[in-house]
Amino acid sequence: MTSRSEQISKLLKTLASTTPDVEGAAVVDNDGLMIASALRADVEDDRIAAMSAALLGMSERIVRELGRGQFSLVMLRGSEGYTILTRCGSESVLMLLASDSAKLGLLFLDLSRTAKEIGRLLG
Amino acid sequence: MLKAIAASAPRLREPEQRPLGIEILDGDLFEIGLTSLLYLAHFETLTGWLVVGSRGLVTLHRGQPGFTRAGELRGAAALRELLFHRGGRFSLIRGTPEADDHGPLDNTTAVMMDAYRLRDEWARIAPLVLRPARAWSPAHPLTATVARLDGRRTLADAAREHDGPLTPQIDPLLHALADGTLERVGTPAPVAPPAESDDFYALQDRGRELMRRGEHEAARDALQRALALRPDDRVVQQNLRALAQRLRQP
Repeated sequence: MTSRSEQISKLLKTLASTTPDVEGAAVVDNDGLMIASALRADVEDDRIAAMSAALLGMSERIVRELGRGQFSLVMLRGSEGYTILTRCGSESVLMLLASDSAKLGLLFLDLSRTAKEIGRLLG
Repeated sequence: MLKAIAASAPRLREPEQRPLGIEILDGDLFEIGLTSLLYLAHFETLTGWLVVGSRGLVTLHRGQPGFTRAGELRGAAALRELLFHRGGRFSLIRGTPEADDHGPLDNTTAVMMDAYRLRDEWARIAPLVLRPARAWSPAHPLTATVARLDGRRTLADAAREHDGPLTPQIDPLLHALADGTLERVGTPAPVAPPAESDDFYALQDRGRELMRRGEHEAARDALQRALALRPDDRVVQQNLRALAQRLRQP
């Protein structure tokens, strides 16, 4: 039987390899513990995990305090590309790094499908 | 995963060295199992070597396994041992093995089936807590393992401290259980079954779950075992670093 982590790992690899301009993805739990990753070798896992948890905490607080309902997604745009963080279950988030030429519609579609599937696996 | 490496002159095999030839495939045995690789070699009538990390090597002559070693084991016993364990790195190398006196291995399919049988048997007995029912002869092949069975540790724990091959011990252990020379102590320890605990991803999941429950020592044990199966895995490395950080916090 394929384990949960293995299935999530495969989903991330599929997302990173089939969606154009995706440069990496990782699933991190609320405490900053990495669950699966498909990141480039030069990306620091500890940094990704810690920043995901920090960004999630901050984003959830902003959404809550500004009366925007439940946190769903946050996107940061830099000159070299995007960092997107989205919920995939109550205990974890999916972080995605994409280049600045990424087609956002396609990216969000694949991201949403993957996050939903990961959320289902994580129960 | 496929590698097109510039052809280097094939060299004759030296017993404890990685064979030199053209590496045509390398990867992780979790992605593609040893059985599939042997079938691939068979269909491709490959001549060369299948190197299984630092655990062993299978020499291939036109797709047929020949000289095989796994630690101290040779031949069918070595192939059985290699097939029994999961995970690790492999490398499929095309080259010209030195002619050996061993010839092709007989009935590789039977060896594969026996390795899977031993996996099942091991999954069944590894969680048992055992102790010897009477004194053991020092010459008995199980003496070193039995010496570690203190009535508290599971067979899996005792086996982890054993450096040698595991497969030659399983049938004698089954016989010892059947004839009463080894006896069970209480109920099996509440550990994940070894089929699962030998699985990299299952160990990883379990380690994180234990961390969330605050069982840090058990979490570290599970994650370290996962890391032993895949020393280069970044996720497990990150989990262990995060765990160490938590343990440092007051």
